[in-house]
Amino acid sequence: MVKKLLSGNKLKKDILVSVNNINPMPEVLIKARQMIFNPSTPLKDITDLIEKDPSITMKTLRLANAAYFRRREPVTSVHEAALVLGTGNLSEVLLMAFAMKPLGEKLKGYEFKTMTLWQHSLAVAFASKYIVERKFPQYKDVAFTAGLIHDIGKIILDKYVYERLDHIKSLMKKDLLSFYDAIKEILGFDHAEIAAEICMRWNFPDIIVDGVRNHHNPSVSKKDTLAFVIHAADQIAIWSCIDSNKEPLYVMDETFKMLGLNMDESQEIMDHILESVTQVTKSIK
Amino acid sequence: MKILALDSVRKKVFLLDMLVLLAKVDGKIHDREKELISSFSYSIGGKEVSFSENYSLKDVLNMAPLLEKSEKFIIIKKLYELAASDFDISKEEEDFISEICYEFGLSHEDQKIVSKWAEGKMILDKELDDYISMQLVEDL
Repeated sequence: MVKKLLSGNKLKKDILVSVNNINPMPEVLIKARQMIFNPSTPLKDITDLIEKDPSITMKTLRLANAAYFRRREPVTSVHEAALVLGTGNLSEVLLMAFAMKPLGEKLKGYEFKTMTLWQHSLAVAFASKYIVERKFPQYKDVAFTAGLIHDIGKIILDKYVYERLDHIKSLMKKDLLSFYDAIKEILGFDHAEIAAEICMRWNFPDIIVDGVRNHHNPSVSKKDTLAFVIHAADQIAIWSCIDSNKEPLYVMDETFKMLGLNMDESQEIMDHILESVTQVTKSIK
Repeated sequence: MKILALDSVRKKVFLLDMLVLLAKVDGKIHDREKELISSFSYSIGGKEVSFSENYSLKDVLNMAPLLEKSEKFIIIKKLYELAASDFDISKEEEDFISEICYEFGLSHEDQKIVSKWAEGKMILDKELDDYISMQLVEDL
């Protein structure tokens, strides 16, 4: 018997229930990130808290020793890592330590191999950070995070995409749609919307929620600079051919104009992300 | 300012055709090449990829004058990505890409920038491959 697949509002309701089942961000991480962004919190309180979780401590140290952070001597404790990297970088390392597992999973619906989504997410995170450091420093605390989790909705949607893969592929062929557009057409929404729901569940600030939600179509919210940043970073990561993530290619004139970016800078960003992703990948081995 | 990213299906099909030609250039099409080409075909509606069709570079190059420089760079990078996907760029592949750079009017310097990038990409792919193999062993 052919299984009847959900559609419309029932499908959306079912997907939103799945969002509630996604791994919660560990309490240690939530608290540590809150403390990092509160300048009056003593560093020792933050690092003592992190060191209570052996798994996060181990991953944090591995990542903190990545050549990306340009340390001569390896760091051996979270406290030392916080001192030498600074709390901003420590917050990024903590998020990477947490997100590596879910983003590194193989996705059957999207036909991603192990680590494909992680690699792309990392590239977008580094590109977003690079852009805001030079153009919009006021976003420096949120760009890396938003870039790293911008596609996390794909983890939830994967099961639904897999169940409908034949239908999605026939629609792509029939209407010459990209994979992204065909999924959106069939499910009624995209992974960016689901990623925004996850961000809310993880208590990320509204600026990240909105930036992630609009990253495929930043023009809908003209004032949302972060959405434009992620959109540009996403495309530059795709142009850099660092991974094969099947996302559509967009005409970028409006976004580049809005961000004051040019092609030479995008070339620099491509080189930067290739180097950074390679260094982080070396550190996790 | 024109920053186009292969803004028509025709341009994307053009790149797809180039990728297929490159995959065939050294006489052996390996799995990674097939995977990469099929993955790119998703941006143009999962267009059926045929490795048996016979067309030449000249047949597809008529699209070249319509491309912006930014698009030419993306195409050359994608070609290098494919050529490097087996961790080795053969002489036939290098010659094929050089010919396209010439037809695109790109300088030797431009090509050097992209080929240097391809070397970096091979290192990253190797690192990831090693990491995934290590994970598989740990999971056993």
